[in-house]
Amino acid sequence: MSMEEQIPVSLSYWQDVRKRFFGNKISIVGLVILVALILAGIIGPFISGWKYDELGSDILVSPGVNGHWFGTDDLGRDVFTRVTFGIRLSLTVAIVVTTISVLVGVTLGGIAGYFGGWVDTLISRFIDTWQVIPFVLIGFAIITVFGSSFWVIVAALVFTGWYSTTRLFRASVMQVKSLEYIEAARATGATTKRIILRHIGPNAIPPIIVVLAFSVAGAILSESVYAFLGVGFREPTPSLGVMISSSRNYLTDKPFVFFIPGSVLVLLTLSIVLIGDGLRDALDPKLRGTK
Amino acid sequence: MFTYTIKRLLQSLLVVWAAVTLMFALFFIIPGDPISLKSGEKSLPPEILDNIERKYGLDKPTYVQYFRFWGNLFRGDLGYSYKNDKSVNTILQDGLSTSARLLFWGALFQLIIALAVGLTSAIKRGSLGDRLGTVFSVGIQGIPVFVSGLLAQYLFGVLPFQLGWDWLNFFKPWPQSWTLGVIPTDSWKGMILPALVVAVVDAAFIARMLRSSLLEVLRADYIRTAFAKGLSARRVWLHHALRNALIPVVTVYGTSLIAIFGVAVQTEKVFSLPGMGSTIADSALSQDAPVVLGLAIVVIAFGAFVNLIVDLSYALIDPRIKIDAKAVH
Repeated sequence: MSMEEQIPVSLSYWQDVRKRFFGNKISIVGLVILVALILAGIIGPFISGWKYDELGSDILVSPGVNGHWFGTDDLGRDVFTRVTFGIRLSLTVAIVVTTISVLVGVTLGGIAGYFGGWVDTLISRFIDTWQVIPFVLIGFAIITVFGSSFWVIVAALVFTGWYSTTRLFRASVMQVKSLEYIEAARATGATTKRIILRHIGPNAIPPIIVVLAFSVAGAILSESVYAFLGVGFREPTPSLGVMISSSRNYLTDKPFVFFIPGSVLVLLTLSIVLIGDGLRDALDPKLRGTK
Repeated sequence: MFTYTIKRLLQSLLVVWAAVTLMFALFFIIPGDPISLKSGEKSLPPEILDNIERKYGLDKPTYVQYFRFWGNLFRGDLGYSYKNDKSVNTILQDGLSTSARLLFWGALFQLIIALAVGLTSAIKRGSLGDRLGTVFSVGIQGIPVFVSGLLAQYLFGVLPFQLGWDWLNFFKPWPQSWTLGVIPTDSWKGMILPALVVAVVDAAFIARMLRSSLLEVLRADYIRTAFAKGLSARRVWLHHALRNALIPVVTVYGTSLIAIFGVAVQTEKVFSLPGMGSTIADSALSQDAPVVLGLAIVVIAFGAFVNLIVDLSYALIDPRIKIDAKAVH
């Protein structure tokens, strides 16, 4: 960085973050796509004129025929209604799962990172164990035993996602803990509670925001994988994974029944990943003042 | 180094034991009912039910089943499927050969793509290739494996078929004349597409990791010193920069090898390959507990082994970690 590009003194950290995030073209593209998909998810099912599980006599008609904007699937159901409903479902599941995973991660990771010692060893070894079990198997076990209702699927996804947030938050706390200003705070006689809430907490927040974005994208992907493999939501629930799974038989003749839910799923996760990428750069204090 | 290796080895064994026990708890204590699998809707006389229970040792308390399970495991006996009484060892062998081929080529393609894309985009930073690489690696993160698998099938199967382009069709053997008859094309061609699908997922992520890690290393003083000494760019890149940039990359590569099972399940399902992934998925769905557990042990042991290798390779790449390990333990 040259001398001319010095940080303007008037900008606070968060003002600078906002400026850099909105100055990044790629994250704006992500934001626009995500907002459009959310709007489609909210109003789509109301304006299409069909219900998501309404069977019709128009079977596998192409997009645009008989007022079916995105065509119909093999049971004559309106693909537009089902896809917009799928966006709603994916996002709801992902947000609930991420909230719970982050709460678990912050609590366990915070405890392990701050206290260290045997508590840390216990939690870390537990994470090691959990990590070598493939996530699909944990999901399979939970869903085959408890069925595939909304909350069971949420629980299965939390069980597969909690350890990565815990590990990241633990590392983040450990890193912040060893910095000089924490030592200084302790030397001046600050209590443990005060150090955690006032000194470590705020400095550990930026990584959490980034993790939030990526774990929402991860939860959407995992949910669709479960649905595709037959252990997540099931017919007639319009999960994007379910739609893609049942489109496999029509890949040759009616590829649109695959391409429409497929591209919506990709756009949904991709837009969130792009926003996460932009946030990571914007929140990095080392890049302050740069473009 | 020796004590460190032994310590990590024992830790890995502990992790495998804990993970297998957890899987046992998940699949054996709660459901795992061979009776309903065999009888279906029919109601069987109680003597037959008792017989079936005795045959699988389910009449014994859970802890006895648990110790028996470990005893059999040490003798190399994984038990029998609830569904068709096939030995789990046989099922495992069948699935393993397909999966091993898929994952070997997948992991190899992954490493090649990641190194090539990562190195090029770091060396030619800001070039068209770098920007394309970034777009590719961000884009691929949003695409689930089963979607990219189906897309690959469409692009290299359905579309060439409809257009009559046999040379692009990955589901038909290429003419023998292409390889002058030396290599039979039909035996490996069917594996290229699935292996590429497996490879591409994390290759993009590893490439990005390598790029940013290289760019950070390049800012270090010793790189400037190396250039100042008059070393060739090639030597600085490969000997000074790459080695130091590899540490975070090795971690990511390890995690991606562990996660590759989830990728394999989806790929095998999409391409209808009879590997371990699709076998576990089908058995889990029909609650065939012995098959799930028997195959899961292999997957778990593989994961723990990769973790161990990753940890030990840190010490090889970065001698400082070895010294730390000595000081701590």
